[in-house]
Amino acid sequence: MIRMLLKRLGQGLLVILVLQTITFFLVRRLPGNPFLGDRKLPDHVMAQLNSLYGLDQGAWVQYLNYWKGILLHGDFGPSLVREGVQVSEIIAQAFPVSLWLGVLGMAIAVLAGIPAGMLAAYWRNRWPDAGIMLLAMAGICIPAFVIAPVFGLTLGMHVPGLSVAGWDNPLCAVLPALTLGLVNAAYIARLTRGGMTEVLGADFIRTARAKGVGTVRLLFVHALRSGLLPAVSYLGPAFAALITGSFVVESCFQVPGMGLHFVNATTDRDYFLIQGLVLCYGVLIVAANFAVDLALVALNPRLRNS
Amino acid sequence: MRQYEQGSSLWSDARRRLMKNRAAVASLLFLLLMVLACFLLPLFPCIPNPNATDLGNIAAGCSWAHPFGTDQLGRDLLARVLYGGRISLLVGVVATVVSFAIGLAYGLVSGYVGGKVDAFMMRAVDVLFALPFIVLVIVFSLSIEAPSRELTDWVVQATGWSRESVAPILGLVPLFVAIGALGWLTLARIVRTQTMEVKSQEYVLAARSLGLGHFSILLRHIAPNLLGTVVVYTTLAVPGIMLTESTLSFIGLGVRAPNSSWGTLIKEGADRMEVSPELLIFPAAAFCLTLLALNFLGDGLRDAIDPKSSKD
Amino acid sequence: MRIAVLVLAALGLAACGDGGSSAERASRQGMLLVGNNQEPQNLDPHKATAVADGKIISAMLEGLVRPDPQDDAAVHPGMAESWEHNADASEWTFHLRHAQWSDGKPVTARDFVYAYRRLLHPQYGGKYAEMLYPIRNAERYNRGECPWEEVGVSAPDDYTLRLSLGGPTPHLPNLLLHYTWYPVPAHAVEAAGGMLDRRSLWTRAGAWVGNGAYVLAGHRFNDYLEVRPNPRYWRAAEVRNRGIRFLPIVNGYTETRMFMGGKLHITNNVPPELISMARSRAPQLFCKDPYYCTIFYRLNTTRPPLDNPLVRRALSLAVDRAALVADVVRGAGIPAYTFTPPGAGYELPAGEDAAMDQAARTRLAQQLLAQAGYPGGKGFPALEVMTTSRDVQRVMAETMQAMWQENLGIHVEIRSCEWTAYKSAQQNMEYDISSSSWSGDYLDPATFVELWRGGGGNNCTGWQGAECDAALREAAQAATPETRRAALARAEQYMLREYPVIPLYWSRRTYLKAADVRGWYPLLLDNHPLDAVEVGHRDTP
Repeated sequence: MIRMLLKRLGQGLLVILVLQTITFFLVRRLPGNPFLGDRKLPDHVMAQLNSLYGLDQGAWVQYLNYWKGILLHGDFGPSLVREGVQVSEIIAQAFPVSLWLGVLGMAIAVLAGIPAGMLAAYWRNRWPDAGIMLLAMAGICIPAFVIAPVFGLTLGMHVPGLSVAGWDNPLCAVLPALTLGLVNAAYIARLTRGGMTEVLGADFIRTARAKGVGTVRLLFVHALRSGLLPAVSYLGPAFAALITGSFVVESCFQVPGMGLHFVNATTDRDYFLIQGLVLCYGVLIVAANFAVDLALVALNPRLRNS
Repeated sequence: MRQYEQGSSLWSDARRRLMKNRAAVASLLFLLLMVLACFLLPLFPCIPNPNATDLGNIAAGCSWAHPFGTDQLGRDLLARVLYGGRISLLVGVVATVVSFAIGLAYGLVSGYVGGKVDAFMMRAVDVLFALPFIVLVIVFSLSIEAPSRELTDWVVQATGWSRESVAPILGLVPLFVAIGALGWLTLARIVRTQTMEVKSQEYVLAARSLGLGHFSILLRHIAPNLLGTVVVYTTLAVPGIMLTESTLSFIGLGVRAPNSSWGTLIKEGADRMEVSPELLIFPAAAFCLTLLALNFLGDGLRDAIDPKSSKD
Repeated sequence: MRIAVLVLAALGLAACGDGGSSAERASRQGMLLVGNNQEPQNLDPHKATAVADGKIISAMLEGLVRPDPQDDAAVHPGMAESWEHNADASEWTFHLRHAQWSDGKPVTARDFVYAYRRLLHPQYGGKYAEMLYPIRNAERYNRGECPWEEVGVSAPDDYTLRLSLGGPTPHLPNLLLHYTWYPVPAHAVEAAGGMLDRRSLWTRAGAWVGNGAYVLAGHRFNDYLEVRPNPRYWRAAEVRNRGIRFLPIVNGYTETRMFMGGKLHITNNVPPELISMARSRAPQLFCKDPYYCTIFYRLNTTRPPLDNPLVRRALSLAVDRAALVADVVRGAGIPAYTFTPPGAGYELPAGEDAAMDQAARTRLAQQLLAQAGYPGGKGFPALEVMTTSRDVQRVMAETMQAMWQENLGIHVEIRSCEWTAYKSAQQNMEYDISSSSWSGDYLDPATFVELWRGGGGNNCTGWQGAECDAALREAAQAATPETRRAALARAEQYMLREYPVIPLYWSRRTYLKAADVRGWYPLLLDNHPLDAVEVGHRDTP
């Protein structure tokens, strides 16, 4: 077990290294540079700025310096657009916000999605199934940039305590979390239904049913384990994506999370900030996928020997 | 030879079962109608030019002349929805097929071979998953600019068609590549998990001990068992793919203004929902109904090709 | 379970709060909630370039002069109690008042000298150093071509500042309103890492030292930036509110909805699509102010067929500006046939193009295009209009595309780019036609006309004219405001005659302002002195 953990840790580090390397050279191929503003900078000023931040050096020198900074000083580099601010400070402020929203959203998604999917599978091809799937499809088809303002304009404007957008009281998290949650709940419901349908037709369920196992026990104990497989595979990356923030939801609800930084850093060419955010996301993806693999094994002992 | 006959009966069974599923048949008809409407209706003169602006007639509500009303520049919304449907359906089908094929093959191999190969392939997926999509797309669209212009020039010269009619479709090629190349990641993970589960089941072990080759085990025993999940997941992925197209359009990859797609129409409508909700409602309805139908069809297909249900 | 408890606790908190919307609560406290368009990039006046940054800096630092809440053209004594200049306005002497920084240290002329030296320092990389180029030898120093001693800035004593300029500059007080001319606390900057440290932390909450009406009280990225009155400000008694919260709301739809939901006192921008809604729902709160900003299309005059002035004029004439303003930006602009918006006593006659009606303009455009060798648009090569991904710019490009197609029979493609790709393509002239805008840094036509100096960095059209350059040189040497404006007008008219750009309209700012905000007046430059703005109802304590 420990050997396996170490092996996965090693693989994870390798993934991060490759990811950071690709990102490093990719962002420098984007047109423009971080100092480009509304007004054109005189060449001598541009040259001065580039040399101040070492961007005039060769790509490999910059690359090595970047790693040197991280490994020797724990320094993820400066923001090139908000000069004087460190990348780590920006992430330290934004990540807790996105984490909180992501956890709330995921809780809503799982608590609504899995039971809905199970019920739909149980009553397959009858009206509760049709109703739940209709709702789920609506959640999948209607994009967040439509749902978010609709929530803001209806619930946000009229339900006391909730707000249209902003981040100045704890209840501000409700609508963005709901938006994130519902979209993901829809996916989870669909995938759970698919997985459960498959399982409910399997021999061991028929046997169990024939033996007189009750419906609840049948669903939750016997069928749920393998019925959840597709949903769990989806959950890992989805959770990582959720807690690194969603640009659309953050922009519609004015939430100071990671999603806004991700997009703004890209359009501003804030090289080190992009790098830091990708690093953060990469670590989460690796961790989430590892957790998923563990969960899959726990759910399905047959996977254990592979 | 004998095997071939067995195979064909599986598919004809599937077709028979599909035809018995009323929701699936209705969905199939609806999709056919939608495709016909989007691709054939605009050929009739009753549908105006979707890009003809009429500034005297902005965001006018529904009327006989404009059944869906007009948009922010007085263009006929019905025509824009139909033309937008062409683009969106094309993107949906092509990009989905590409990512479906890659994801299925990748997941099957990774899950079936297992061990070091599996670890390597899955970590590669992790890397691709974490790469910033927008950065990739911008870099990609820049490097594809010159080749795609050459392609357009070549097609214009070779066929003699006008540039205006060729460019919108050919402009989508980089988009297909971009979405198709990255849209398969989640599918690959799901397929891999399922493959691992199926391959440890008795009948696969039995098939192997009978001396069947890996390729035929994958194709005849494992893949059919996955199709259900794969079809469900793929139909789920289509809306995301179609909407990604609209995001990319705004940064210069994909459909160019003034041409529309359902995604761009919905985005434009969402910005104006307080003032003229019909700009959002009609494109969103076309989009949602199509995907709903696709989904019911997907469910029907899943039920029909499920080898287990043949025991019923 | 924990989540449920947290949510319940949050509900309880909100229920126990003093009720009302955020804006109502802030009004009671005398706090102003202002939508500020985007997250400020920098509060250091020598690093900032964005408009959003400038608004915050102006609240926290004060220059030699300070603005008037009702009139952009007027200036009041700020750090300088009085000033005088020589006959041709090239030598200025400012007498400073005995003011204090927020940490109690005196504000002296040395802080000004330090600030100007820092921005111009060849090793500093000041992005807006150009703003100080009116000072004699400033540009040479900035390029590393002469020592600091030759630059025309000196402090004979702690409370006298002398500026020697490169030429007559009668409009200097208007320039001084820009934040690049503000002082910085030399002692604080030195303590935080020295003059040339671009990563200096003196602008952080906690470390901030300023001489303006407010000091920095709190800042969270993409969330808010809060300033509180500075008790050591020399006019502290005249500050009309208890603080300001700047909210960096990029998304105009979100911002408008937040205003409607009682989250803001003043918004930055109502998107064109929402104007009719804002107008009908809040007629008294909707504002539409003139703005010192021109929306125009740049033409790349180095690429055929745009190297032909006939073609350029035809493209310009075929655009129905009145329809563009009425239907695309929904009235948030004034149709323009000249480049510089009227203001600061400068207004160009609209010219012959404006005098015709659109039908006549279109006919003339068709003739010109035929003269250029493209009758009815036949054989006209496929050009590309480059825009950013902003909705209003794309819709505008679609309108222009339709107008050119209909009026001239030519087809242009639309390329929408993400922001930096757009800037990069424009500045490197990798475009055919570029959807552009320009807003003035200070209230003077030079901020617009100087754009067209041959080889100027922001010209980006490849066009230059000897007559235009000569007139600009003449303007730089003119000793009286009248002769200077006349020379600038000539320069602009030379430029307009050649059509390197298609002026479309002068923008108007559309925004919402709550009913209990007083002391906020329309300003061309939109640099409102926020200490004059009062919020809350007078009868509430």
